[in-house]
Parts: sequence; structure tokens; C-alpha cells
Amino acid sequence: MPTEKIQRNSTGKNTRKNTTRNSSIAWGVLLGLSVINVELGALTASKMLMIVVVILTLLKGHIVVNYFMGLRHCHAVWRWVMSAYLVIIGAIIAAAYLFF
Amino acid sequence: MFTHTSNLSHRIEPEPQPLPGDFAIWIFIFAELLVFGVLFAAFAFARSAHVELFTASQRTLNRTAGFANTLLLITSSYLVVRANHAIKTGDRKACWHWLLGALSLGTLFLLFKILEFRQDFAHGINLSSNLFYMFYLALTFFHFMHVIMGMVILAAVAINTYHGRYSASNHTGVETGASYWHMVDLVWIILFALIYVIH
Repeated sequence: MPTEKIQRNSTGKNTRKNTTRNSSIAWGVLLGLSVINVELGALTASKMLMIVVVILTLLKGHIVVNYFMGLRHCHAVWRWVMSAYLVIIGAIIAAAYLFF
Repeated sequence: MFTHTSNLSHRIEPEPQPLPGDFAIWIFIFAELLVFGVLFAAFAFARSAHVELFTASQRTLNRTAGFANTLLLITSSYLVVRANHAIKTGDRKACWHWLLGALSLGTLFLLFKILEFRQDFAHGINLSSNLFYMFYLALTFFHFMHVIMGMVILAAVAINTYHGRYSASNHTGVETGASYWHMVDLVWIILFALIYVIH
């Protein structure tokens, strides 16, 4: 008889179904944040607005890194490298727009 | 008959995994992210010296096309994630279908971008028009080439999947191709915000 070992996490939930569900939620959130970003971009320019758009963009990047690339399951050093990249790029862009 | 592990008496604590796919692709990914990062920074600082020019030129861009392309790439990336999940359960057929979907959306992205470039050229926009358009065309075309490369990789992965070269125990190729495609998506997310949205 065929047997299938279902991987379960510490709360007893099916790990693979969890992963697919999390990815689907991430996709939905990314689409929603994209809509918000575009709507904000149509508003009159302001420094606060620019900062919000940058933060939302970094958040989208964070979601892609962790839930699409799957780095949230990887060694912490790789998550830190990608997070640092996003934060540094965001900071440089924000600084260029705010202070120069 | 299925047997499954007990939920409380056999806790499964996930161990940190290595980077998905071949490590060599990650060297490439980090290098590409670095290059694009430098270009993004250059754009931002160039803008600071020509704010009015950049603001006025940005208004001429087709933000709707850029937004549509954002949705296409994000969704294509999601389909690649589903393909990865499918092959991990040994479902080659589903993996193949998800990859076909991702490639279709990638093709649409390229088509929309080509139409956008045509519209730009028709309006007399080229690399010498002004500093903003130089950055805009250079960055988006550079990204365009990466999308093409990503699609070549995904197509190769899809063909290998179709011929049964991947399985639940051997899917490094799928993860490798997927990682590169997600990088392409990540770069566009930043590029779209920087060039089309932030002002």
C-alpha cells in the first residue's frame, strides 16, 4: 500500500500546503502594494509621499526575497545580505531625493 | 493508506536551508543586484541635480504600461514559485504547466515593453534626448535583456521538466532558474518605483 509521510511543522500543520498558501498570500499582498504605490504616485509630490513609496517598495522587495526566493528558510546570513541590499538602496534613493 | 507523523510528540523544527538552487547562480544574482544598485543610485543622484527636468520627463512616461508590466512580472514570479512547489511533490505535469504560465506572462511583459519603446521612439525619445531619458532607456533596456535571459533559462528548465529530468529528489535546476527569475522581478519592482513613480 502506498504510504505518504506528510511533513508537519511544530503546530502540526502540513508544511507544503502552508508554503503554497503563504506564497499565494504574498502574491496578493504584492499586487495590493503595487496598486497603492501607483495611486500614491499620482498624488502631488511631497517628501513624506516619497518616503512612503520607498518604504512600500522595500517591503515588496522583502516579500519577494523571503516568500518567492524562499530565503526565509535559509541561513540568516543570506537574509541579512538581501535585507541590507534593500535597505542600503532605499536609503541612498531617499537621501538623494531629500538632501541633495 | 496514509501514515503521518504525530503533531505534538514529533515536532519538526525546520533547519536553515542553503540557498535554493545552484550556488553559482547566486554569485551571478548578487553581482547583477550590485550593478543595478549602482545604476539606481546614479539615477537618484543625477535627478537631484536636474529635478525639474526629471520631473517633467517622468510625466511623459506611460505609467499604465509600467504598472501592467509590474503586475505581469509579480504574477509570473508567483507561477514560478508554484512550479517549484509542484516539482518538490514530484508533480512534473503541474510544474510544466506553471512554468508555461510564467513564460507566457514573461512574453507579455516583453511585448508590452516593446510597444512602450516604440511609442517612446515615435515621440522622438532616444538616448540623447536628455539625461532622464538616457537613464530611463538604458535601465529599462538593460532590464529587458535580463528578462530575455531569464526566459531562456526558464524555457530550458521547462523543457527539462517535460522530459522528466527533475523530480521530488532532484530539482536543483528548477530552483536555480526560479531564483534568477525572482531577481529579475525584484529589480523591476525597484526600477518601476524609482523611474515611473517617485517624484
